[in-house]
Amino acid sequence: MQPKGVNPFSNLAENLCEVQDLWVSHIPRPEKPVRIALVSMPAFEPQQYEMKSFYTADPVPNGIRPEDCERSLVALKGDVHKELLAAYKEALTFAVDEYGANIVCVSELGLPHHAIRPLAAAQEFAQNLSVSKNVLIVAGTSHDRRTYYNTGYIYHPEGSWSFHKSLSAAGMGELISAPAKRRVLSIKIFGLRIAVMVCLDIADYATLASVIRARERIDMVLVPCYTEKFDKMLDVAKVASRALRGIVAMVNAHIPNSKCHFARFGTDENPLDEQPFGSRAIVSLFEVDHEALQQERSRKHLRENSHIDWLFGNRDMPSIPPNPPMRQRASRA
Amino acid sequence: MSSSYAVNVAELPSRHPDLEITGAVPVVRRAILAKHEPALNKRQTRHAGSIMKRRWKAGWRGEYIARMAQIADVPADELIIPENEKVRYRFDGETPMVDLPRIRTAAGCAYHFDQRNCCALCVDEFSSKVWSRIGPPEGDAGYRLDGVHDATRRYRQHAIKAAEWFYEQFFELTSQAFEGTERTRDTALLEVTTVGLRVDGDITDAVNDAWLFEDGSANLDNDELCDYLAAAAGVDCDIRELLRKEKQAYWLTVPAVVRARSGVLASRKVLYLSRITGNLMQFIGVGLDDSASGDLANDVALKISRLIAGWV
Repeated sequence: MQPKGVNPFSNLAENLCEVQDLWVSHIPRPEKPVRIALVSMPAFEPQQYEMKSFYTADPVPNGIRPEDCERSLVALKGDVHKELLAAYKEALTFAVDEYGANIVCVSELGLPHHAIRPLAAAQEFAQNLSVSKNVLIVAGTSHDRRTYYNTGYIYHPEGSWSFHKSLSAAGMGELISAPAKRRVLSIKIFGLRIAVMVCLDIADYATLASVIRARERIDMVLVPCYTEKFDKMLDVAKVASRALRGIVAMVNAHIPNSKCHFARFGTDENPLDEQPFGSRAIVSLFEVDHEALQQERSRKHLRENSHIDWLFGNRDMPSIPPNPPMRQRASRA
Repeated sequence: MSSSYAVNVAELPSRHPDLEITGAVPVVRRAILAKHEPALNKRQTRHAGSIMKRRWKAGWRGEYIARMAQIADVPADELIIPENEKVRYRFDGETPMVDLPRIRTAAGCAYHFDQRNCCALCVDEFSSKVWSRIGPPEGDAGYRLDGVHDATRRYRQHAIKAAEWFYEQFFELTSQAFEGTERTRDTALLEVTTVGLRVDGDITDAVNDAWLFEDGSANLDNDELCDYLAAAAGVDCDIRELLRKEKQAYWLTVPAVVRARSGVLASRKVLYLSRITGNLMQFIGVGLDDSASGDLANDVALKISRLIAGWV
């Protein structure tokens, strides 16, 4: 049985993370459905990378375990970054030119990087493509040794923004730092309101509760991933899409059988089309029709959703407080 | 905080935060209810939508603008229909809707408003509703505090006239779509009037709630709040006096999300009073609006209207 009242965890947890609303003003809503290309970049082979360790304090203060100060970031070996850049350009160009994508989202660690920082050539390419073709590009993320963050970049015709992963995928060897102030970006473009978070962050209750709190103003969440536990993440995506009353799109690196995923109102959806490349990158195409999406979102409260709604704080429902007692009403008359 | 309230504060310790309210944004939504026998089906509603689209393109647009100008008592050339606006047939959940284009006054017009008329055609046991929504144009700073009573009264009169005219016109123009059904107008009317109070800077949930609520109910110790509730209700008496007479009235707390000036999406609660006066079901709401564009009243009014629409 569902507990009564507001979930107290949701009230507190959602204040732990801000949702920053950003607008790309001059791009109107297209007449046709918005086309979204999810770009699954090739996973790194063991011989292509190493996990490089750093310490946030040197020397580590007495009494503190060294591993508590350790950070472990992906460093690509040799010329792997060049192969990655070529695959990146090929996949993004195809997504925009052949699929006519309005929005492109690249998987986690899919932004070409070298010496543990994003490759300027890849960033310039994504920015120029965004400007020349009027496209929103969530350009993937990369580790950055300057900050120890896992940072992603979003390019749009009017500029760019960055976003950061909050949680380390320690099971995969990732040990990162994160900004002290947690923040999720939400972008309004093409008539859609799209939040972006990285991989495990969607499984973090406080972060997700903050997004669900603002669900009136968010239609969709894009989630670049790089995980071997994608099946578990898909379950999270389905629940998250029901709670959001919208779409959660997860883009995994090309780890076998776990390329990308589109959960719409709790239901899986296959891509309209898929294009594999020799580089092992895969581009998957989805469409979002505004009218259908808004109609579905405005459907009346569903009984089977009530536990999920309670989990995230019953945000939509008005509550009826008791009337003030008469003596109180009269006290100031 | 107004000076009159400052006097009261000196007399009685304040239990709510002192806020600088810089303007007010009233939004009035009025609905006329009707039932069809037998109940409408989606084919009929789609037909009605097609007729309205056709009529609009065939010249009814001019008549519509002229009549809206006459109802608002403004020159027709001061009314603007934004380029991207058109007659739309769509679904709000399971309910077919026919939306007419949004219409607004040009900048500099003495009486400024933004209006939309629409019809929710219920295909179940609930009533169809012909809505008229009047509020300030988007981005408008709202009204000076001493003008809120008059502005709300004028919007209310405007919405009443517009809804009455549109109700008759809509069902006359689309009569062909509803052949074989009998329409009966409800004696009851529905009104949702919401006043968004503009405040400088970003406020917190705690400040918002302390100003509007006390012990889980309306903060009737807050004289300013009571004044705005009275303005929204269109009554001349004190809202506490009104509550003593209207035992069936009850409060609702409606959650909303605003885009604060900092760009952060923040949750806010808005206080509504539900009352019945004569044949009118009236919902009056007041909320603190620290949004970037002053759209709290419009957003939350739409939200509660959707909710109420599922009740009647």
